[in-house]
Amino acid sequence: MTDRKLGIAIAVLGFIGLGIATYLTYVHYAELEPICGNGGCERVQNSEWSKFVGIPVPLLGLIGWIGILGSLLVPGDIGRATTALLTLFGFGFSLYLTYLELFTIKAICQWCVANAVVMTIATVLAIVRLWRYQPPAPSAPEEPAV
Amino acid sequence: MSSRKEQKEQARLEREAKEAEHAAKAARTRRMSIIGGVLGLAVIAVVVVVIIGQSGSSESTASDVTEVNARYAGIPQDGITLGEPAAKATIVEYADLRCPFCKDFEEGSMPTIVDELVKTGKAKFVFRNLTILDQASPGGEDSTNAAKYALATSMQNKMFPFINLFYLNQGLESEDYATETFLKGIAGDVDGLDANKAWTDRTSPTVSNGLVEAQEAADAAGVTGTPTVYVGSSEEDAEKVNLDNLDDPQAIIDAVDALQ
Repeated sequence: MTDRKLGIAIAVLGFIGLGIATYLTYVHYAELEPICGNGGCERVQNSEWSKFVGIPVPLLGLIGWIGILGSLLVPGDIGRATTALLTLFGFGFSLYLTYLELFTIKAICQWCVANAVVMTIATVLAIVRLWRYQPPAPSAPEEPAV
Repeated sequence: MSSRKEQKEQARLEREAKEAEHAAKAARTRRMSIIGGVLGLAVIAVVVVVIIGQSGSSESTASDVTEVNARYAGIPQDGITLGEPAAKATIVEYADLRCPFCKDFEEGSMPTIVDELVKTGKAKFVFRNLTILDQASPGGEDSTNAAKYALATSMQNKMFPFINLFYLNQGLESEDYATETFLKGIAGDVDGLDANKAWTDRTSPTVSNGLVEAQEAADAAGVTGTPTVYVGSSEEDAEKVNLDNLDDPQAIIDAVDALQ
């Protein structure tokens, strides 16, 4: 996969993640119940872990995905490193939230799992994109005019 | 001449190859440093998040303590019953102090129930303390320890602010935490409650009978999980209220209003 294709793939995943986070943020503020197969989403949404330092977790996800998509527009090493940093952080946070769902809240929210899966794939692609990146070779000095 | 030229060319090629190798090595080292830095930063950020998440989740603050004591100040408490004995409606909650959903109900619905139904004299509130989490995990006794101490605080008619503060400090369901220090620490924040007396009283027959009565009442009512809430003109006549949203006590308010 070329650098460009990796960027596009991460962008596609970013928009999927953004969609999930937007939906969960909307149902949080509209005080609705998310469409959910097993009732787990409501339990997760109503748990004390649905907020982090007072901020709803879906809103944090929304901000995170916007940051990841924004970092794709930054060229060079810095942009690729920022994308990798944000996805890695998102991956670690998702891992922690999944642990809480399984062992503390004891309920699984499919939307959160879907978001975690998308974040995991985006993280792998972002690391590969950073690893493979070759800075453009400095252009050869122009021949002196004769 | 030709040989010297070839040697020079050879040396140039070797130099260029070495330079290219050095450049590739430097690029690799740089990439490794960037990835290492990114990984390190991400790990630090996640560790910070986990520490904040775990430590800030269930600590009651000084303002919580003031708020809880103020909420129950002046409301009659008689053992496990809160409110006017002559109230037309009786609300019965079956709960386990270590159950996270009971905590959600306590924090999401209880303030409204106390303010709008109990303080107004429309209803009295009976708290039936179950230990279902111990029954669900072989050898578990943390819920029983918590319930016994809570029942001991009911002997001083101070159980409701105690359980409110207990929920605010509730630990992880997967861990045992209802120790003497933990329980006395919470009791110490309840105005007028003697934490040491409650510690002694937790082994009294009144407390053990209270636990048995709660379980018998739950069995008679057909309680299968916590929290479960019943509303009626008396505990015996009370009917189950569906709690679709633990933050929304409207169904309980409606059931109480229907009895006025």
